[in-house]
Amino acid sequence: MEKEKSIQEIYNEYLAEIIGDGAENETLREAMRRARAAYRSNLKKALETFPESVEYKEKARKIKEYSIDHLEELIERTMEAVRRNHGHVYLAKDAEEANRIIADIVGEPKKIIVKGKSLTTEETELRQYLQEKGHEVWETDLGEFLVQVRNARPMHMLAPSVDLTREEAAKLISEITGKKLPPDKIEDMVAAVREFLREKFTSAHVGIAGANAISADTGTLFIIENEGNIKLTASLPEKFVALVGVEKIVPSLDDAFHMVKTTWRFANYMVPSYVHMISGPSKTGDIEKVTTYGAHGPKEFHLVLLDNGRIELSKNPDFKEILYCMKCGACMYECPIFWIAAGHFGVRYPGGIGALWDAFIAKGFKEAAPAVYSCAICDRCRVRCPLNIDTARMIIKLRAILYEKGYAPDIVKEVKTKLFKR
Amino acid sequence: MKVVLAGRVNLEHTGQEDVLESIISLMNKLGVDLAFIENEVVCMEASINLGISDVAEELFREFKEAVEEIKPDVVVSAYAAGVAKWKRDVPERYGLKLPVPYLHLTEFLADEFRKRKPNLKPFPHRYFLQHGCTLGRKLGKFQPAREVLSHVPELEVIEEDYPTAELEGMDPAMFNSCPAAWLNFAQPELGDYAKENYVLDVLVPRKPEFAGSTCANGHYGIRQGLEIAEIEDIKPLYFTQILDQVWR
Repeated sequence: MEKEKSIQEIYNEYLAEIIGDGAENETLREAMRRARAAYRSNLKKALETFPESVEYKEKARKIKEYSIDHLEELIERTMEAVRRNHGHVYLAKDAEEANRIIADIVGEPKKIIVKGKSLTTEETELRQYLQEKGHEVWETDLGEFLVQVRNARPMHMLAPSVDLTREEAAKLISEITGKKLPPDKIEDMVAAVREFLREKFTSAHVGIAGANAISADTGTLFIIENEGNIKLTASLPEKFVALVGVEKIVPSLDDAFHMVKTTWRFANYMVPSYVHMISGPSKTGDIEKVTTYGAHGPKEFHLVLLDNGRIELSKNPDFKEILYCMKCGACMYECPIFWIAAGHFGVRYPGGIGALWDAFIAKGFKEAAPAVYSCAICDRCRVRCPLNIDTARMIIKLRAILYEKGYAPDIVKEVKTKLFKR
Repeated sequence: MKVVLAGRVNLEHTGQEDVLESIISLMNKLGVDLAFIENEVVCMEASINLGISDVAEELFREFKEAVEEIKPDVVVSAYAAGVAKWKRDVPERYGLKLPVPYLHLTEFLADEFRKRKPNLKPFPHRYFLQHGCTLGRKLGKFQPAREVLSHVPELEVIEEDYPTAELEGMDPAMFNSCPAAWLNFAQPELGDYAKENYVLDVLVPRKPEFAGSTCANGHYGIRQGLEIAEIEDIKPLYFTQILDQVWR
């Protein structure tokens, strides 16, 4: 039986990674400089073009406050709506149950599965789970595809390969596709991956994605994307499965649209190329008005709602704000630690808000503790966050819990003796 | 006027005696009766920020009792954490309240300069000012530092800009980058890289001759960052060091 790691061993491993793979990596730091400059420039253009976006923030915050305070009621309403739409809906209590449900939906081994980028599937480690069950699973978002082929983990909530420079990307894609791709031609890299994945899309049995919001009244998923991979994932295979955290549920279609437009605006887009609204399986009523399922799109629509601690967290007044996060990733472009370490700051979810997600949802207090102490508590993420999430305040409160549980690093325990002389 | 200067031991502990000397000298020039807390501990505010909850209340209670004994008109500190903690956290968590106001040094000096209108010598240099994260972003106190430094003739104050601040109706200082000094307490080995990066990405491109933060903790971060990055043509200078030099 494997011996449980001590908290100091966890700290040492974490620091070795965040410093060795992150802070000491000059290429990563350069990639982050470029990403930050592009983010700021794009956001400026977007806010100049759509100045009303600034006003989205307050309303989005109110929608999330209401939704998290009424989470269980909204889950019920969503499940009713999906069933009404001839979809299948499940509420998974944890990651294991969610993966098991999805594996059952996929069925016998050796299925080809195409996946859209989704942090929730990262949380449950769904790709790895399905691969272990004997399926062929392909990430189809370009950044996430690069994460998969280099056996890494996402380095940002929306830009999973933000740590890669074009030079590294060219080398990697050349290796996978067997084409010699120069770093100055990003369009050639994109075309090579498109050609590689196209065959996977057309032969896939199941498509899996996450969602940016769900409207409880209609059971509609809202999915933002730019590449078109979700469009194919959600329409070509016979079965479409969405794995979505319950915190994404908001009361109405209007609310859901408000949340997604706030997300994309602060996530770096003037306007995304695609916003999908999916409310059930493909259907037609063209012959005698008889509704028949499985026209051109998937015959089966499955929504797996993931709890994994979210419902309990929604009742915690000190920390429920964690669930307001839309995963737009804006905060990370302004985080002094993210600037030097990208997603190595974090375990499953990146950044300061990610450390909180790791602690309460994805990994537990002990494993998340080192990242919680990496936060510089500078509060800059709150200012950049469209929902004004006070991550630093929650980090400070969580540290008191970690300290009481014995999960603070030794250096913090020494502050008490050496500086406070207690 | 009797003033308790909080945070003296922090300045000594971090080797910022030059900053401490400038503050004391400036206070003397203002004719302030300066007092210190005997047995003050280094950065008791860290007890809250690091989660050392079993001693936090005791530390703040002892500080309050020491202030009550000294009976000052005001408590002043070059650090922002004390201002913030006594404003919200300490009253809310422990029900403790100081008998007198607790001001940041920039606020205190802004008030004093308004009353006295000091006649200062010119300081014709480019000075980069970082608004301490707690004092600026959290407490919204940007103007006192700007006001104090505006009294110095020929001083060119450079602040960090932010491309969307105006569009979002915010003071650009709300987005001031952070020299990550708080990491000294928890993950100093990581913090060194963050400080170096701050200097290289934020300070160096703006080409100041001197740089400093409104908060002595941020200032320490900048100071360390300049050392780690081996940047010699930007000198760390706390704003009180400028004021002390130019006082007539």
